[in-house]
Amino acid sequence: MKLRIASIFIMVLFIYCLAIVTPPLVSRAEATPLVDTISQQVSHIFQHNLLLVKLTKLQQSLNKDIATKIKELKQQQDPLLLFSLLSISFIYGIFHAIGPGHGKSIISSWIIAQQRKLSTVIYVSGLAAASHALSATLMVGGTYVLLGKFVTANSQKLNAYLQIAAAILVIGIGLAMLLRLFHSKLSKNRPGPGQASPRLWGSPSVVALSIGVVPCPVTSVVLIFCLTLGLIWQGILIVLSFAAGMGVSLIVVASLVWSLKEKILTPKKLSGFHYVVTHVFPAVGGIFLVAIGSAILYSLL
Amino acid sequence: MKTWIMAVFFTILFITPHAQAHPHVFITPKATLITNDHFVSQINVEWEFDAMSSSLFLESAGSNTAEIWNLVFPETQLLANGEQTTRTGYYTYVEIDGRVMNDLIPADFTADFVDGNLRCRFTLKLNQTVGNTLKLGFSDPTTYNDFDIQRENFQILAQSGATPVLEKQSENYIDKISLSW
Repeated sequence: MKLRIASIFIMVLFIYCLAIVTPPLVSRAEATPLVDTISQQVSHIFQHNLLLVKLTKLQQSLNKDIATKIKELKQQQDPLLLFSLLSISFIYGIFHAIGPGHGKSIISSWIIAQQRKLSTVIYVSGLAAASHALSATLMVGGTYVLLGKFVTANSQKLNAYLQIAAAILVIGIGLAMLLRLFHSKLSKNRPGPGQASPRLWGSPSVVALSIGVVPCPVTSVVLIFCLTLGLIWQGILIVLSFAAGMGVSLIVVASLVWSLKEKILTPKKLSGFHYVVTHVFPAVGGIFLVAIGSAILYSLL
Repeated sequence: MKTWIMAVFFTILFITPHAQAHPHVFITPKATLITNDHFVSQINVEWEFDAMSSSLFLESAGSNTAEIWNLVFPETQLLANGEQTTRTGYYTYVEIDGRVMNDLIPADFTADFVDGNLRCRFTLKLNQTVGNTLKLGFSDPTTYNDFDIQRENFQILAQSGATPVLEKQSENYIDKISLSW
């Protein structure tokens, strides 16, 4: 009975979530004017609630502080000022990554769908944050070295291509989860879908790459701002500090999801939820990843 | 208890994708509303960008107004000769007596850098008679651009007749400027 209730609960939630993930697909077809969209968004609790407003204001303040301090650093090469700047960047990274974004959903879906150790979850979160920041650094630095200038229309095109690649990776990871589930259904003697073998599409590095391959716009902006002022190594340090802050946030969220899943999976409770965890979770996670990847891809094409 | 855990579990999982982005560009909007009694002829809007985003725009587009505007609002088809395609929106909404104006077509686009900060300007030619209230707001549905609306950045230029009262309001955590007659 508990199993049925849990399954129904998950399916209802899943249908609801699919409905809120897919508006980009619907809205483009209807081509409603932007003003309608905005007025509809006014009452939207997910985009406009007190927590998000406060989070946004805090980021605005941190952004302003960083810009001011970078300008001051240009005037006086004070180590204390640099340390203060790195601290603010770290805090900015933490709050920036707390905000809504699909990265946390992808990691959460992957954690729910697969049985992984906490150390692997932390590795994926850290790698995702690092690659998110470093891909921006490489793009900005690369275009400067190769073309002798910073961000251009070409690099914006590259950014769009990377977003498409990330969306395809997300779809691929979701499909791999579903295929593995389908395979295990057909062959009883294969390992359960919960005990996933480390194959390419479900591997931690690919999951991290699917999140991190898209450059972080804030990182690009901070780096360009520093480079235009001639603060090269300081800019790189600020970016690293910002990335570390994002990593902390991602690791905390991912660890929370992992520990909640482990709580459900304690031996005493395993019998009741075993089916849900080994069959429904991978299916929900897989379908969700395919849906979110498709929505992102559709919005880019 | 189990249901509660599941609810928290899936809230964490699914709450994030809906709001698809977090703020990256911080804009301080300013505006002058030109009135003639209950008639509002136009709103002159200026957006001041944060220092770091401004440097990105400067490096990307230089001082080319059309290029800057195409970066600010990518779907805007602002032509090189200064003309524009019929495009509404521009993250701006106006509500007159509870009715949202659906066909806003801004004009007179300019963009320049003042002390390193990008300032984009445009005019909304409204030519509407207002009964009691007019509300003006700026919002990016993707939340990529954040608009920080402050009362002191908005003013009324009353050419004649009654001068409306201008105040900042918040509805469902969205700030807007309200004019009441």
